[in-house]
Amino acid sequence: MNKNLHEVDKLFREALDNHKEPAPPGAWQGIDADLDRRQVNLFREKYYRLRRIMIVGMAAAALIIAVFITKRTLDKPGATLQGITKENQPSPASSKAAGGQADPQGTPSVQPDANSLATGSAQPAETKSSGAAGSNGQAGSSITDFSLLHGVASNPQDQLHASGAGRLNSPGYVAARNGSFGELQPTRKSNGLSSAGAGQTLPDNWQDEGSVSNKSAGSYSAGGANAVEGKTEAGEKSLYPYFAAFIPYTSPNTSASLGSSAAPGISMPKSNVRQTRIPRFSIAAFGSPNYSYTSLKNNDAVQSSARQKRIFENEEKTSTSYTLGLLVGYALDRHFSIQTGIEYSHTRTDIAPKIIYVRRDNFGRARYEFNCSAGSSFMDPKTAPAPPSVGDSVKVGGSSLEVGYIGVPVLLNYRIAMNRFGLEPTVGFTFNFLHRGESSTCFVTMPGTPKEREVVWGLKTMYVDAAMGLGASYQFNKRVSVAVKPQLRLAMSSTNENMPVKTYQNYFSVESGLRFNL
Amino acid sequence: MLTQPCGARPRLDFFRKKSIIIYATIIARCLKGERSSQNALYQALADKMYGVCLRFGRSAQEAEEILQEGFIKMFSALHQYREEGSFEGWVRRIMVNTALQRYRNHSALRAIVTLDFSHELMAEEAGDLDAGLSAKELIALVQELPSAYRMVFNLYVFEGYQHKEIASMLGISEGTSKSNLHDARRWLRERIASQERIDNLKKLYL
Repeated sequence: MNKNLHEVDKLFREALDNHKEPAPPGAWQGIDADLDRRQVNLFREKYYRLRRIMIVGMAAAALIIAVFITKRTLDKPGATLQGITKENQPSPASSKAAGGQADPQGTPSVQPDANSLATGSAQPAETKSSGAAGSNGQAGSSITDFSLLHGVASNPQDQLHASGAGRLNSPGYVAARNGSFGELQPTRKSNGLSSAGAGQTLPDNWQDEGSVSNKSAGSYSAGGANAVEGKTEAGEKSLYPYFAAFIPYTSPNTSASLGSSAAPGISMPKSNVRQTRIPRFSIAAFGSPNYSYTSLKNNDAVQSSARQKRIFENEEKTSTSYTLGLLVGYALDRHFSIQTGIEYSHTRTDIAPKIIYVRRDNFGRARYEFNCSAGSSFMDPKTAPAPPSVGDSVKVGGSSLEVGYIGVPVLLNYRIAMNRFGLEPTVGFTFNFLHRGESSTCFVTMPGTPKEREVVWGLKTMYVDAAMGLGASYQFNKRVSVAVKPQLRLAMSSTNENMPVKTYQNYFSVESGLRFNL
Repeated sequence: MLTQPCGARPRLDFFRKKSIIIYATIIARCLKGERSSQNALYQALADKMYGVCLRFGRSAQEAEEILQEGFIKMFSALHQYREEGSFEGWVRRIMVNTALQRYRNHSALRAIVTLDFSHELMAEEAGDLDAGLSAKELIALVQELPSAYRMVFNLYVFEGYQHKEIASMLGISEGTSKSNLHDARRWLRERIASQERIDNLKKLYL
């Protein structure tokens, strides 16, 4: 028996193994037509991909241009230096020219004597304290060399009046005039030098920082010959900040010439320019309604793809979509920051009533198959009078598809600050992980029954989208700011696989939320 | 024992190499999208592949559909061919996989058919198989087999797969695969025997 059966194998193998049969003449026409169609789809796919890349590229280019323009604007002389606190900047309105001449940049008209400090032989120049009426006599009279540099006397109204015409021969002064005070220069120069001829209101914070070493009437020795006594009464503004302007000169260049005679008790003055600390970390909570646009593309692997695509396009319509998220930001510098975190996007799509059929599912059970653009689900109505058999059909209505993704965005922001307001162009990617894919359907033939909910098969567990947006923010205080950001998210890969159509989930959202700087 | 004539093997190698070179040239042109080369490749392989498709399909029409689908897949995946084995073998595997895919997609809609062995005894009594059936007749017999049996029979007898592989390919158990093959053989044996009887009767009375 077995021998006979195995002979069957032999018989068929010998007869048919290399058997040739003339192919039907119409077969090539079909292949030819299909190849043409595929070529068209290939070009179309390439076009879509190129279009996406171009959009992302253009957004990136716009961001780079914005960065470049902003950087150039900020680098221009006279531009507001960000990071210097407002109270440190001199108020032109309070400046009072009491004599002497000073140009608007604070360059004094007096010429310093080159040897006055180094040799300690500075001549007591004409010193006129126009503020004598209101100034402490001690302070006023004690101003010799250094006060002469500025022609300064202090008065209780915190105004310094320079009589001008002081002859200064200080290289440090020249250095200051030439703008070599490094980072501290703009404020120093303005406070220290322009007041030489023009007189200027002292900033409010002078007392805080300047009075530390001047309370005890600290002396400043130059070559042991000329001592500057900055004795001040308690509560008065000291002259200390004026000396600070000379420190860059004194310290590197003249310390040698000053030699060991320099007073040992003098320490390097602290900067009175407080730079705004860049908050490195921030947390932002946001929510946004989305305009969700599902782009459907033919799946070439499936024959009836084009027909299915048309059906789905007519049947489905997005009803609601929103995104909620929590982002952690890290500032790379004053402008650039990266953001990442977690967000949840939910989209509900309404599906028009349609007829569905019974098919065998992957486990061989006969169930109603519900197809939609995202995938398909097999339903087994609990209230059905009899178990469905293959070929049965039923009309369903009130169907919807709900898809939820947990996203991990990686965003690069560029902040253009305008006082409390700020603009933030953003580009980046979001990695979306499937959290929920569910279809709900109401079987029309059984009114009053609850909706059948089933998992949708065919959705990918992860897809990537490119995000670009332009945010606007308003800073309430150092910690809290509010932001609104219109953002476009374009899917770079389809959300489903092995389905008649490829689905690309795109969003346009207006994110709004609060940001807390840590 | 006779040995092969000297030079036979190198000559075969020569033709094999020549055939590889010709295929390589055509494939390179196909990859550039030349439709004439694609047509040439089709013409070179179509007859042989159609023979394979006929065994897997229920009818000539289904075989033609498998052939078309298989060739389209082949042209799409041509860049994946690594020239590691025979090109014909590679195309043949594509055809078989296409037929399997088709079977899997439509298996839910097909009714489960059991074979009728009412003439079992007569079949067993039949002697050695010497039916003298033509290839076309044998193909027609295979096509008459229910889909599940036809798949197992083709994969085991012609493609050389083992039951374990067939079971995983078709999503059935190994036992089912063995059982299907056994039933398919018995059914074919019986049909051949009955064909023999008809032929003998024809010879006697006509």
